[in-house]
Amino acid sequence: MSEESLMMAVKQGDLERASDLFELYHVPLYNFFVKITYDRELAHDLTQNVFLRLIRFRHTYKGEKRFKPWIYQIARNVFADHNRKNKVLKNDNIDVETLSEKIQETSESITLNEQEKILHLSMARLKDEYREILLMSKFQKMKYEEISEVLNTSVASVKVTVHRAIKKLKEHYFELEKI
Amino acid sequence: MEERKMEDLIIDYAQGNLTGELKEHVEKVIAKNDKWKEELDRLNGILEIMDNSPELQPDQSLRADFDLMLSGEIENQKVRQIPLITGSAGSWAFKIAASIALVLVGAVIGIMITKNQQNERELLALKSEVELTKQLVISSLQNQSSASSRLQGVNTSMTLSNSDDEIITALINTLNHDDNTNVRLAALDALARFSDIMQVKKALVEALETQDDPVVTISLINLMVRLKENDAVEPLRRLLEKGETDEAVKSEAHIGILKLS
Repeated sequence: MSEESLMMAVKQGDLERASDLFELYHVPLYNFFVKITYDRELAHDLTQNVFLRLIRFRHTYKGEKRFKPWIYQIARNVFADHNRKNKVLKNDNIDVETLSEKIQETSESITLNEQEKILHLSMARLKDEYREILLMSKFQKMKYEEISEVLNTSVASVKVTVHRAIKKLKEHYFELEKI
Repeated sequence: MEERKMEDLIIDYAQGNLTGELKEHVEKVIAKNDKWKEELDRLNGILEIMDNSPELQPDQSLRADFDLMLSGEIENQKVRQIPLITGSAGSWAFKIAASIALVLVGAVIGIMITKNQQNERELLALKSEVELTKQLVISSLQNQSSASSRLQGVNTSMTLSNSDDEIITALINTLNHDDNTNVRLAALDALARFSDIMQVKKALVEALETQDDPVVTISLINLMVRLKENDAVEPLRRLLEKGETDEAVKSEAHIGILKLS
């Protein structure tokens, strides 16, 4: 059964099928949120909220739409609502050391090497738009077409933003490498 | 070629976005110039780290919380599918029937008590079980460290057939102050059962303007419409007027006002 058929079944009242969608997407979404918030507990709650909205707003799913961009749209809304509610301070207000600790904490058993730490610190310095698009394209391995559906924009615009995001990331990375 | 332009082309090249003559040209420039070769190597290094970034595994409680939430939603769906007479008459008919049923159950229990002491002991045991359940619910709702436990507490409260002041106060507090959206939604579902109690009705109407998660607010609006609660019209109008109100909430509020006016 395709993801779209599973979601259509949920829409038509077969809520048990949401469990199959959870199986497919809870790990990628959890990673998306961990890498954007650097907080595993918060990522847990936000992932849970995505699936709650998937069920509560199932009537808004249109069969002709691909499921993956749709669920990532929900994820972005969940994150935006969380930020609005908590008036989150931007990561660039946090000093490098504190952020470095947060990044290592979220990675738990995985010991990050120096380059990985610098990469995450550089990511944290990016503006939200850039960080989010790199998370989708590089970490979540989403295609430009899928990202364009999530962001409701053209593929060309996605390409340009990814390009700019990499350029900025590279600048931060080279700068932090010198410290 | 300008330095800045070459930097951009290297980013495109590293991502595999170049083709044809332009690609060949960039390859030639890189081959001739160590500076650009180094730039490309460093950029490839960054892209490689992103490519190989390890996937983190959530702990088992995420699955457990999801299962709990899903079973709650399935239960809610079943409740909504029970064919009742629709409209306010239906709702009143149901309430009257439920009241009669309660009175009958009470009467039967009364007769049983008078019949023999064995039954009296059973009733006392039942009462103590209800009291225990009530305490369990209240302590679960106060467990700040675990959203799952609070969710379980709200779900357990639904097993209690009669309203109880302490539980209602705890549920209202949960609806208004719990950090977790799922817990607040569950509290809303639990309170909906007691919406004919003035204290509950007032709390639900007030919550329309204090909730900050669109999912909870929309669920509240839908409940107000289902209950035909006219007192909700003014708060809904204020929601519409507030600039920061979520667009989806505004749209539901608008529909709500139309249906309730």
